[in-house]
Amino acid sequence: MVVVDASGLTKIYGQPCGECVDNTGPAVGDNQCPVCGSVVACADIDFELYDGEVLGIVGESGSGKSSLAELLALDSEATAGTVTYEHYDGNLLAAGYQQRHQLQNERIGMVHQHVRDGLELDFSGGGNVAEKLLAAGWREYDAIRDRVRELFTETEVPVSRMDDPTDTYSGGMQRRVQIARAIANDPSLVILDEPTTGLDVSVQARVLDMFRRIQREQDVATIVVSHDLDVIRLLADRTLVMRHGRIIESGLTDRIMEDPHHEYTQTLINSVI
Amino acid sequence: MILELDTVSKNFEMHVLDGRTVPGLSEVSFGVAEGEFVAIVGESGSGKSSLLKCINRTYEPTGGRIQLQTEDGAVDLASCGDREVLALRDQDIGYASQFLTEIPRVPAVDVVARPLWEQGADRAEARSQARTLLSALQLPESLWDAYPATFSGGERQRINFARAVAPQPRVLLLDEPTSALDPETRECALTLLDEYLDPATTVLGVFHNRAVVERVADRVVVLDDAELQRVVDIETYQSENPA
Repeated sequence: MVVVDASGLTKIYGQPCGECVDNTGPAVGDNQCPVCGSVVACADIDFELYDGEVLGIVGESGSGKSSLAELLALDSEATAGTVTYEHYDGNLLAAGYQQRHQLQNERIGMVHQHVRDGLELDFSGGGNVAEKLLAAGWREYDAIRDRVRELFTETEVPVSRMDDPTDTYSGGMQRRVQIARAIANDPSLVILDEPTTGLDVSVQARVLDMFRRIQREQDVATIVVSHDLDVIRLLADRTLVMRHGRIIESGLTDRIMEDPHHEYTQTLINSVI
Repeated sequence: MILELDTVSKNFEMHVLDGRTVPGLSEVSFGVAEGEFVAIVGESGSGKSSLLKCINRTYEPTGGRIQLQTEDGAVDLASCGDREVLALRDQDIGYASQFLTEIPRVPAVDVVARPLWEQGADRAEARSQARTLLSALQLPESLWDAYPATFSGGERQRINFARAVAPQPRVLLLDEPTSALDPETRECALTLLDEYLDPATTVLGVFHNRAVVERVADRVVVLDDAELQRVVDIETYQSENPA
């Protein structure tokens, strides 16, 4: 079953002149419009995401991956395009303020690249997770504490630290608290934006293993954005390759890795250290 | 025929090498009957692995058709959608690559049990079946719960082999599955194919070792320089290539 169906998804920063999409992209080698100076973060993005599937989005810095993730997480407004989502009637991108918040709280879990975008660092770790539960209508104090404990256990954060301020947590713990928040209300879509950036290697491995276990157990449709091919290889069934704000190649992850077609994808695969 | 290849070609356009095109397979056609064991032989670089990868869709064929008969009808593996390929890999097609490419930090027994879980088997039952396979392949019991990343080439190859065989796919693709095994362990692997697999399983295997080809194959596909040279039954192959 299709969970997300995106068509013509476009995000332009600035005042678009109407020719920005034509004037940018991989063929031009830039994502800034030479006429009006607007930046085309992503344009004409089409894809489908299915139940239980992990879709990888890979590309270099500035390729538009995170902008796309923010659009899908309803954190920013699209310039054009439609997204149908199994829990929403109509174009998700046209959802009103209140509906967006409801979807973000109950149906779509986002793990941000930058911890400050995803967590209130002066709140406790437990408080950050409880905030999500409260927003989804949880009211009973003990039930909320129990659910936070359960989520901390699930995401391998020491329960004994749940009342400590989040800024006293390690980077790996903060990432795990974000994942706990993202899955708190059993969403049907989870978006991970650079889930391992800034973590040292052994911590990266633990975070990825933990997420992979949860994803498999809950069979939740997931979008993983990463510049790291190993992360994509580990998690994704299918992969989109982005450059200059466009999808330049898509396919089965093993096919992308072993039989890359696009010039840029070949360079990317050959660049692995 | 359960599998029918019709003028299957694979060219690699190497943008990183001045856009030159490297032929991997050139208009290869042959059919495979259900339950048949077909060995693919040829020099290194003749296209053997490319052929298996095209069937598994790890490589996307440049031309031709690969018709697979499934319970729901015929599917062209050369052109069907990615989602369909993923579903076929879960149910119908098993593939053991030359080298183990398993996700890190998963114990050997779980690497082998995973395809069974994904088919809906109970976890304990899948692990028990995985242990049976690892035992039949003489992998020391002390390694069953360890991570394969630190294993020797032969040990890793056995994990890879057991993982591909475990879910009893209808079509099994084996790429040099016994190349790193000593003769005794290799015989264990071949015996496992005889005894564990359903007789209706269709196997396409790339082998360098002539004794293995003669031991397992019904027919032999000979590739040379990306082209199909001939397809012969095992008796003809033996008579044409006396030891």
